[in-house]
Amino acid sequence: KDVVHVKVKKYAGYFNPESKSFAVDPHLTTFEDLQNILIQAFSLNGPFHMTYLCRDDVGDNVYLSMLTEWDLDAAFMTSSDPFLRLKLDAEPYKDGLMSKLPDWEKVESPNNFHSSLHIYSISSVNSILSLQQTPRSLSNSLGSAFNKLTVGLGYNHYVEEEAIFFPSKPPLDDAEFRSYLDEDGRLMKPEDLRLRVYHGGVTPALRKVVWRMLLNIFPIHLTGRERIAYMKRKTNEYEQLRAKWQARADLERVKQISNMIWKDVLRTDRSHKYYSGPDDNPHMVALMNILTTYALTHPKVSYCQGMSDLVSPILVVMNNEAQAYICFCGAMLRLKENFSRDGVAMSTKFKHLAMLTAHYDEDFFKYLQNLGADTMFFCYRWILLELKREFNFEDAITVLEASNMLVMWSSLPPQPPEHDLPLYDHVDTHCFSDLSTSNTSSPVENAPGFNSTTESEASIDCVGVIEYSACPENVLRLRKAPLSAKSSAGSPPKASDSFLTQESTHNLPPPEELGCGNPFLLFVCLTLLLDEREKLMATHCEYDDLVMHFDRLVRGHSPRKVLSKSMKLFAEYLRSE
Amino acid sequence: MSYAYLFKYIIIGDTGVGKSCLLLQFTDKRFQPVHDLTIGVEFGARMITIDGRQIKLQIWDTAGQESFRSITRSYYRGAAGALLVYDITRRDTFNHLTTWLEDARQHSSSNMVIMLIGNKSDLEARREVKKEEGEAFAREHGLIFMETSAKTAANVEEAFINTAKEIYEKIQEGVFDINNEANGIKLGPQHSPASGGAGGNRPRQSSDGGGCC
Repeated sequence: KDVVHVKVKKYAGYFNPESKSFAVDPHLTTFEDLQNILIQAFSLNGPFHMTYLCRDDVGDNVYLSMLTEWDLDAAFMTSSDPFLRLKLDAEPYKDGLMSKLPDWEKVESPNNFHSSLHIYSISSVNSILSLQQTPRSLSNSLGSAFNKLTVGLGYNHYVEEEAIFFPSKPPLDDAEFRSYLDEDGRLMKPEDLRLRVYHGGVTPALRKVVWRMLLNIFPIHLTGRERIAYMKRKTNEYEQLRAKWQARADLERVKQISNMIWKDVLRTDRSHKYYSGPDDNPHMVALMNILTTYALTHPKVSYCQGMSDLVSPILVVMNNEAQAYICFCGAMLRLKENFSRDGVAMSTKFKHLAMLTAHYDEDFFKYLQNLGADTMFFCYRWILLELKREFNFEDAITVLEASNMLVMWSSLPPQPPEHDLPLYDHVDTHCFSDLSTSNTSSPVENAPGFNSTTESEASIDCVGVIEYSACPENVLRLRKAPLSAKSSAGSPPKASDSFLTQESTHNLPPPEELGCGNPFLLFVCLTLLLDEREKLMATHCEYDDLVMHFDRLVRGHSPRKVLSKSMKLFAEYLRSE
Repeated sequence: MSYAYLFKYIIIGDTGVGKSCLLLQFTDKRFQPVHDLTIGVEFGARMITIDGRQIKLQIWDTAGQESFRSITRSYYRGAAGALLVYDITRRDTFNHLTTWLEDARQHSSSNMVIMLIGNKSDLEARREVKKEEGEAFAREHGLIFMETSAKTAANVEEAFINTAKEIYEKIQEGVFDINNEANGIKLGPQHSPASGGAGGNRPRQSSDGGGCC
């Protein structure tokens, strides 16, 4: 065994037990190391007593004391797969709590383990591995490694047993964010920032600034001052675009689109306090303005249902209509293909998700096939809205919900616009040209760096030009790939009717093609599916039962758990590539 | 739960006419004034009884916006019943019925039973489409018609159940081939053992058998 996964439950007095898990290298970890890990992880400051679960000769599960190096070795050898289970009594001398609760932990059967997540902190394993080379700094490295570990763990008190993979780091804060900027505020390594966010999210106060960067709205190498000026100029540009259609609100097309959008805005996240209250809530008006401006200035995309769900969280975070519009334009460079009528992007994504499912869980995929669900159409909303509705979005954006989207976005390589992010597409003759020609000094002509459609289309192509890899520490690496990758990435294969061939489930598409440029999303979808597979396969159900089962889970998934598992699967996939 | 037959329904019509609210009223007996926008297709199911036989209605609630039609069309195939819904307070939703109907007829089995529904009948003051217009449209196109209110629940049960009755009658008359699932009808699990080999093309026999208990 090279890695032993450890699950620890700490009992102290009558408090609820606290659980943590991590992984260690059994060849390098001494009894003292383990004690240190536990002291740090649970902030212990007194004596404690450890027991470990092992199976005795008769096959019964019993907890034995762990007091010496020998005990630890025995524990490593006999550790019940997939975990070495430890119990820790932090108040061993207080009137025999353990004797009072003879049955205080029900030993789960290995079958139950099977469906639980096997998440561990790889960084701690690596830190321990690195000790081999520098034995002298042992205690120091240990200290810092476990500091990292415990910061990750202590990040939230109700941390689940499994949840260490995400967040593997605390949320990015202002001070650390500064370290990604040079003295003038230029973002030095956009990839690094993304990876950092991928592993831990950002603190709420910083979300506004970081979302703007993740959504690729700034040309590269802008200084802090230049970014501020850029936002001002873009805000102004947006306000002019909006003023134009508002001045022509009598036009049939403007009326028709804005009415259609309003109907949907009335039904978008109304349970969220930002959009609650009477129907003329200014935030709803802002939502409508953003969508109407986008639809009228991007006639090829126009408006489609689902867009309001995508703008909504952006508006909540930006809390500024113009800035939210700019960010939405950035997001739509990548997302607009989902709304295209030919459905090519969506069907490719369905197909890829089917391939992934077949690849990772053949039995479950066969089960889906029997139900006629192997087209994965039932995951339509997941993919169209990038899972926005599958996670909770109550009471302001919770840290978790926001990090869900953040993490998703940060898994994508940076694609900053060459010069300026276009806020409008080629303006069509039907309605808006008529608006724009009515004013000769329109921003359409004046916008610097604007090259009509060709530029925005070029940036779409760029979305495919990415390269992922997993480095040894099991973390994601993003790279811009050479342009040669472009041709294959730009033209996704057409989904065929005979859905999957044997071969296609063995050879998954490379990351730059998988999911048409957002491979991580599909891994999160896969996790949502696999999380329910036991429950579903245990019952006799039909296609509608399956779909209704997932519909009932809307907004109910635990992002932390789901992200942890998805990241693990994603890292494994990248390593195998 | 066991059932004699499963009927697959689809609900179609313009966005915002109240398709999801009708479904919710029928399956959960409640009204939610602000309902999440339907993306793609959502589902509901309920058991009803016709002539003493359990029938499971499996209802596919589709998104109304045109951009989803490429996906919702694939759901038409294999539906035994369709509820085509318009909003009596919005004339445009009535005007679009022809398009919806053409679409449904083109992509579904010719035996599909279509019920035309004028929803929001509680909003009498804002009515833009007269009841007679709905009736005339239904007559002209051979549909059953009803005005409903998902809010007050008026006629909601009836709309779903009357559609089922019509399908049931077609089964009894041998119009539907119940062994072809593309027709949107499935024999329930209780059927096969009870009717011993009625898996053949004899729907009438098996239903007679059930009727006598």
